[in-house]
Amino acid sequence: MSTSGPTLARQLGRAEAKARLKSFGLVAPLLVFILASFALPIATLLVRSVHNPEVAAALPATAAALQIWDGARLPDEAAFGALAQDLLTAPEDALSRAASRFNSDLPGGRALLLLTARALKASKDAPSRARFVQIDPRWGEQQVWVQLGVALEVWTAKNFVTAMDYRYDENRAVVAQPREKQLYVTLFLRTLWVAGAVTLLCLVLGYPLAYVLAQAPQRLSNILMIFVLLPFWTSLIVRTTSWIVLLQDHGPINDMLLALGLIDDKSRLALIYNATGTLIAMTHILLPFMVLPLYSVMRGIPPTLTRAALSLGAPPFLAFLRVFLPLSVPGIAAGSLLVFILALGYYITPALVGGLSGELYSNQIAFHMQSSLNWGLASALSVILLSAVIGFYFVYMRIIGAEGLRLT
Amino acid sequence: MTMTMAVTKRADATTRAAAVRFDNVSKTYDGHHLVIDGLSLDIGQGEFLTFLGPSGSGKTTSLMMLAGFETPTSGEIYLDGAPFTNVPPHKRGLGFVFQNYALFPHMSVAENLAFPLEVRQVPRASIKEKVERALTMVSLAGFGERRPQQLSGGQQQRVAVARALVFEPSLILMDEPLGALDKNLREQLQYEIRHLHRNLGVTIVYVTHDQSEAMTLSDRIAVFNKGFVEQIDAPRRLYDEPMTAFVAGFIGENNRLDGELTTLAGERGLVTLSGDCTVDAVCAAGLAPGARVVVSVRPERMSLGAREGANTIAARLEEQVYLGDHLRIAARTPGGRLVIAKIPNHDGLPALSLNDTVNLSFRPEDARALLLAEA
Repeated sequence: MSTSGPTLARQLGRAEAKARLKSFGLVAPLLVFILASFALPIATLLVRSVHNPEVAAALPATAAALQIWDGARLPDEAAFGALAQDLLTAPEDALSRAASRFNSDLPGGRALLLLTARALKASKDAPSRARFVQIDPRWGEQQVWVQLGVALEVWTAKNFVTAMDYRYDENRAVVAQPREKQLYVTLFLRTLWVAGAVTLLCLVLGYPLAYVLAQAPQRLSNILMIFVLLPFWTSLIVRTTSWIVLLQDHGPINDMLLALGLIDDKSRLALIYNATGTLIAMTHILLPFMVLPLYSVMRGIPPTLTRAALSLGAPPFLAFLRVFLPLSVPGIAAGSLLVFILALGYYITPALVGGLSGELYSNQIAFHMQSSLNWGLASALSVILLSAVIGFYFVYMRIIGAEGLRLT
Repeated sequence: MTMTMAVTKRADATTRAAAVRFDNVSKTYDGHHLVIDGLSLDIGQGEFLTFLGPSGSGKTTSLMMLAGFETPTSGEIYLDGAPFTNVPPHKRGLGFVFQNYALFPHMSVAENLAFPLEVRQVPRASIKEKVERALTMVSLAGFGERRPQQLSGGQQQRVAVARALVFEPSLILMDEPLGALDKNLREQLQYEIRHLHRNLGVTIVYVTHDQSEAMTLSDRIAVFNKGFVEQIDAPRRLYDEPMTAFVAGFIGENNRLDGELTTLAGERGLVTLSGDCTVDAVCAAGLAPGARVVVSVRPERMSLGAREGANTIAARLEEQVYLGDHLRIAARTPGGRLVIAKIPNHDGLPALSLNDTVNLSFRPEDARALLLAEA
């Protein structure tokens, strides 16, 4: 009825608002949990890649003095005075934290700052440029002051400069690292290569398996599926370490090849603690992530379609190629994307079986988080990895199309 | 519907050569239970034969064996006289129309139709032309660029039929192709399939569980039950002269009056309905006096009131339903048998009330005594 129109619309709006509120209430706990335990830490981490407040907080006068420094030669006496004042007045723990940060910009920087502070406190001499150089001759090097200037920047790009294998020279220009110090770009490319290779291996091994599972009667395929999932339910560490047992120089695989006369004792295959080990172990561990989406997509392809193709005169292989394969593309897409993205960020397996040449990007992130405590650089590396993942995702979506992707 | 495909004259039913022959074909899945039990039948060139039966009767399995998707456990199938059992499905050259259409969802309608031609390496220009013609034939000209999902159920089924016809097979199999459609659409498509069959002269083997669909379409119907063919005949003979109790019950409505065959004279015999009377009926082949039989009478062959030379049963009226063109009554005999009769409304209808005793009569030639099937 037209007369009740506005009232009706209002009633509908109220009813829908209530339903929305109810469903929101149901997901609210999860939302809060995700925000608190996932979104927030990640955001903090990402910010950390460009935010570097510790050194500037401990050495505020120096920061002000270096603001007007042209960087062309050593800073003037005023800057040395400001640094002396900061080192003498900064609280112990703040200075210690700043020194640790500075260490990542200048190797030995931590000791330099702390020892200089101690020496300044111990003597009554008026702090001057000469006195600084006397305490440690490095204070006379322009490079040291450039790095201190970099360390004093609260908002900084230095972590990304490092992550791209560049550095600041003594004139504060961004230049490439010397060849022997270049690490991250190569590592990134290797990570892409390994992730790609693992994805391809998983597809080659997983596709026929998923096909067999999908064609088998439901009862048989349920049983077979348990075998696919069984490794999935075993601890990651256990699975990885069993590969160590299998693949080591005197492990069963090398022994068997030796017994078969395929290799001799001196040419045992190096299957572990290198890229080969990483490839084998990661392919094994990530295989279910390929098989499951493939299987679920293949199960949804009606068997009558293949029969129809046969009845229309297509030989079995052609029927597969023209009908089954194109229809399984969403599964290939979902499985490949899943495996590739998981492989890009893989950490434990390469850490255990990768050795030096099988190390991946995440291992460097972990190293900077846990050992070198250069969180800024770890964050920058994470940002690069995350951007790469997001970038790949969108490129992928462009190629495959959103409707082509089915994860369940 | 426009007809542009090559038109072949249909051969006369009596002179048809058998296109397909099932020779003592059996099929078992588990080694104990026979799904098909010694099936032998001939399908004539250009014939429209329907496999009719309840689910699990073996009709679909028989069709699948003909298509090559199932292999007979024993026996042989011949196509045009040549053994066919070991020919793989893709070399059989049959058109197959599936129950759920089985259109390729990743291809357009035109690509679906082009598929069988492409795998036969038909030249590209010729493919285009044949696809156009096939689409026109099923009244879907101009739909070639659509995806199957964008079409209605009836249109999808037309595409499926066109795809099975486009490479001009001489034998087309259809597995309940109209099962998923609503009644009106089903009737329209039945008409279209009949039309196609008549115009193309192809042999069609059609599977359905819908008896009226089978009656509408078929030259002959094979009635399947538990892996046997109970009877294979033209629709009219199946209805008028069923040879088994199952066929009588499955095709159309019937009254089943159980009794014992007492005397047999030629084709006719007397059946004693215990508690009621004795009726004169046409006896199915192979009956001997003393046999437990069921007398099958179609409800529309029953009339009200006694007639000269007809069987008459007295019964108490239990129900009457006025249906406009006829009156449907249900009456109980003293022996406890329920008799249904359809009284046509051409000379006006008698006024009856419940519990009246009515006389229902039927001619002996409309009553068929059939061997009582063991339950």
